[in-house]
Order: sequence, then C-alpha cells, then structure tokens
Amino acid sequence: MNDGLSKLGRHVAERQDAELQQLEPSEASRRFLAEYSARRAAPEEREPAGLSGPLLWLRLSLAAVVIMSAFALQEAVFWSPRLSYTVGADGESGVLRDWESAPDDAPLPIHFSDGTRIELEPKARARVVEIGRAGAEIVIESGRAHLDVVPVRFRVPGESPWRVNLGPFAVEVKGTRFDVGWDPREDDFSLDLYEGSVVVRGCDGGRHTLSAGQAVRASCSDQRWEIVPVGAPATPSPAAGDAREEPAAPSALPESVAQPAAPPALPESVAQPPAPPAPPRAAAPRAARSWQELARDGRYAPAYERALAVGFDAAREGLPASDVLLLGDTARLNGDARRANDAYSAVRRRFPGTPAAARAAFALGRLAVDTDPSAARRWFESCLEEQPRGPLAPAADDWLFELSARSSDVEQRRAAAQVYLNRHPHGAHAADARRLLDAARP
Amino acid sequence: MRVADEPQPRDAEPRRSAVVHLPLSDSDAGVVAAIRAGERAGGAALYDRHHQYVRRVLLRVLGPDADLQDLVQDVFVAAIDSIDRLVDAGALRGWLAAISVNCVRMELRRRTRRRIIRLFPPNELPDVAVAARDRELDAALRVTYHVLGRLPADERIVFALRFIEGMELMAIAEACQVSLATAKRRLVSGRRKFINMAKAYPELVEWVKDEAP
Repeated sequence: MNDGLSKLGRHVAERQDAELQQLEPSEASRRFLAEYSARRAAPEEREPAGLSGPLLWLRLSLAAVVIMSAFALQEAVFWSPRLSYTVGADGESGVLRDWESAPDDAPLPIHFSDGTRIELEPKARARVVEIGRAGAEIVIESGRAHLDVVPVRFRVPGESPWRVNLGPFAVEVKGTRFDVGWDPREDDFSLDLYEGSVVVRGCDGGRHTLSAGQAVRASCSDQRWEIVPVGAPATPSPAAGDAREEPAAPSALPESVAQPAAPPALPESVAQPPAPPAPPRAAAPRAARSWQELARDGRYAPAYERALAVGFDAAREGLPASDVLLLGDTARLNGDARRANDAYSAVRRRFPGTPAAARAAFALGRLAVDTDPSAARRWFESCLEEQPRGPLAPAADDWLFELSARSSDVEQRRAAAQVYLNRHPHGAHAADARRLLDAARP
Repeated sequence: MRVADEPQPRDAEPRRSAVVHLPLSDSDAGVVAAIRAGERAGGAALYDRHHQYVRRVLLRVLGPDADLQDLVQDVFVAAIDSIDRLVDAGALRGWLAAISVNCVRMELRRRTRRRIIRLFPPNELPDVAVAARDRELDAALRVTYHVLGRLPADERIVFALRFIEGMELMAIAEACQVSLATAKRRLVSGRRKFINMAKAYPELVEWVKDEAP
C-alpha cells in the first residue's frame, strides 16, 4: 500500500463521510422505487428462466427490432404518456392553466402521476401551464410552495424537465426537494434547496446552479442575489430603506395626520444620553389592527371594511404609493372594481414614473382583462414601457400574449407569439407560442 | 386560456400525504423476495437498506456532483430490473457495488462523449457540479477529483475504490467484473498517471512527493 496516496484517500474519504452523514435519504426516490418495484410483473407472468439456443436468438432479434422501432417512433412508442395531476386532498383532476389557490389557513397539495408533489402554502397561488412526459411547468404567482420532484429516469429528447416560474425568476429542476417563494409586492424571491440540484435563472438573465444545503434570497429592484445556507434569512439590503419611494406608512390615515412633526436632527456634537431600555412590547395593550395590517395578512374583507371606515378617498389621496396600491388590491379582492380602479389611477396620477406607477398599470390591466381587452393591453404595455425589467414585466408579457391569443386575427396572434418568444424563450407560454407559430406556417 | 380573475379557495381541507413504511423481513433475502414478487415494499426496503452504501460508492468515484442523486436512483432501478439475475441474495451488497460501478462508468463515458461532441471546454460542461459550494470544499479533495477527472474512466474507478474507499483488490475486481490481473493493471496505470499529474498541484504535492511513479 502506498502510504501517501492512502493517507490522501483517507483524508478525502473522511471529508466525504462527514458530508454523507448529513444527507437524508431521498423520500422521492424511495417512493419512486416502491412504485417501480410494484410495477414489476407477477412471477407467473414473467418470462421463464433458461431460454436456450434458437428461442434466445429469436427474442434478441425481436428486441433489436423493437428498440430500433422505438427510436424511430419514440414519440409514439417508447416514452411514457404525459403526466397528469390532481389537486387537493380529494384528488380532483387538475385543469391545465387553471389557477389554484391554497386556502388562508391550510396548504393545498398537488400530486403528479410520477410521484412528484407540490404543496402550496396557505394563500399561495399557482397554476400548471405546461405538462409533458418528463415534467411540467408551473407558475407561482405569489406565496410559498414546497416541491418534492421525483428524478426523471429517462432524459426525453425535446421534453422539458420540471420548471417553476416566479415573476422574473425561473427554477429548472431535475430530481430534488426544495421550498420556493415569491412575493411580487415586495419583489422578494427565496429558495431553500434540501436535496439534489437546481438551476435558477435570475432577473439578470444569468443561470446559477445550486446544490443541496444552499438557499437563495433575491430581489430585482434591490439588485440583490444572495446564496446562503438553507434556512438563513436574507441580509437586509443597506439601500433597501433608502430605495423606497417614500417613508414607511403609518398604520392608518387619521393617526398619520395626527402625528407631530419629527424633531429636527441634532448636530453630532451634541452628546445624546444613551436611550433607556425600551419597555417590553408585551406589556403594552394591543392596538386595533389597521386595514393595512389586515390586508397584508390576506384578510381582505375586514381590511376593506376598516379602510371604508377610516375614509377610503382620504386614504387614496393621502397615503404613500405602496399603501394606495394595497388599498386598490383590497377593493379589487372585495369585488369593488370601481374603487380599485380609483386607487390604482391615483397611484398613476400621484406617483408618475415610479415603480409603483408601473405596478398600478399592471393592476389596471388586470382589472380590464375581461371588460375591456384593448384597455388591458394598453395598461400592460405601459407597465412594460415604464419598467421593462421590473418584477411584473414577465407577467405583463404573459397577459399580452394571452390577450393576443384570444384575438381572431391570425397575423396578430403570430406576431404576438414571435414577440413573446423573443422576450421569453423559456417563459410560461413559450410552448403555446411555438405551437401558434408552427400552426401559422404554410 | 381564460383565467379566473380571483382565487377560488377549495372547500375541502387538504390532507398531507405520507409514505407508509411497511414491515418487511429484516434481511437482504426478504428484500429480494419482495421485489421478485412485485411488492411495493421491496423497492422501498432495498433503498432503505443500501442507499447509503450506493451513494458512498458513487461519491468515491465521482466526487461532489450535482447528478449524484439521479445516479443513486438509476442504480436501484437497474437493480430492480435485473433482480432475477441475482443468484445469491446474500451477495446483494456486492452486486449493488457492481451495478454502481457500471452506472458510474457509463456516466463518465457519456460525459466524455458529450465533451468531444460539443467541444465544450471542461469547465463549461453543465452536468459537472460547479456550485459555489465546491469552491469551499477541502482543497485536497477538490483537486483530487480534478486530477481523477483526467484519468480514463476504468482507471479512475479502480483508483477511487482502492485509495479512497479502501476496497481490497479482489472486491474491486468483482465490482468492476474484471479479472484480478486486469484490476491490478488498471490500478498501476491509474496510480502512475495520478502521481505524475498530482505533483503539478500545490494542494497535492505534499501527499504524493514521496510516491514513486
């Protein structure tokens, strides 16, 4: 035994063993193998052992023919059928492109036929936009989800693997287990990878490979991209506070009006005594929750009532942009399209040229999708013009494509598909766009 | 393409699904019999009992790699597919080692072919782990696999099983399904190449400076 090489080998093995001890078995693989072994034919159905001479050659020849045919007709013969999926505990069949929303107080499971599981956390909203034989494409509009993706056994030519789109971010997946979240309002993306590897495409267009134990905390507007250990919180951006369009909103308008002006800053030379320790928060009586707090918790009905009680119009005209956007969302989610329109329009009027104005344009577009598609189109285009790389830009493009796809004008549909593919070759509607272009070819 | 404007929460309370671990005979023979009978618990038990060993063998040869979990599953799929060819259930572990070696050899060759076909520089091969975490790995470990990546697949396998996993030559020969003489020949050749290349790397030179090629 060579001593130096053996020592090096032991050194390497010790490092690897330390890593192996931290790895947990893959529940997805275990489940897949359980299903796989169950698929084996019963013993009496399997071929008898000990094939001899001519019969063996005959079978080998047949096998060769089958394999060659399979390669020639791989689409039809060799590969398994497209995946299917069910939603909820009752196993209701999923409908492609339908939005699925988890209730406020419980997760919503989505089960795919290959064993892959997605669990939307409460209030999360997502839809399956494309499904193939080796994976599916999921759009998470908002909220967090846990994904347990069964590794793809065969790499199917021309078939996309699993892919998750969240605003400007995209996650390409093989076999893995991870949590992912997207808050479009805060432009906040997070991913915690427990097993396997994923490729994350960020708003800079770059591809980042992550392996188990790593997590990402990212934001486009903050230009933040952090790789941290799983479970770690994001480092607050030093510029985050400064980058906001306005100071943080007070909890409600009347109180904010009543706030005394802040005292002027003292010169640095004036020594300040150390501040006394703050009294414990628990000792203070809990104040009634503002409509903003209720809305941010997803309790839109009581939030709407409270906003009306404190004065909807005054709030619309007096609060900062982020609160007026929230006000519009609260009205919209309570079915009050008129007040929602008023709130979003107020943001456009009061804060022109800001990211908030672009978000308001997007929201106005969504309001108009069913009632006035032409106006919706203009709003989405405004959103793109004002914030072409903003967090809602991919979603605006998605909507523009969807609106064009409804048009009876073939040329318009084709042009929209081409534009969409140019901008988002891997976007949620890329497959549809390609199909449209293919269909338009003579 | 019509999309509902607002979420419609489902009324039914979602239920978390769970994999039920079925009782199974606590022996390789019981596991093999369960798989042959097409029982669901067989595949799961095979994985439970041997996934650590299979993962370790693959890790020894490949090093840190983004595709490791896929390969572990491929090994078990191949094992279930060919379980009828296993004569002695008591030899299951060695048989899994042979399948692991076979899988990793195919993977290494597939990567080599792709590198040739696509003319990618090695550092652009997408399937090779280039995660940021690799940069934090122990330097000797990292460079060892860098050097091993330049050995032919068969020599890399024998070298890793011998010097990193610490397997006996006879066991290596069985895992590689070659004669003892062939295993020895590959080991001698791989060792010589490894030492010659390792001496060019500061991270390894201390380990191999006294080794005669």
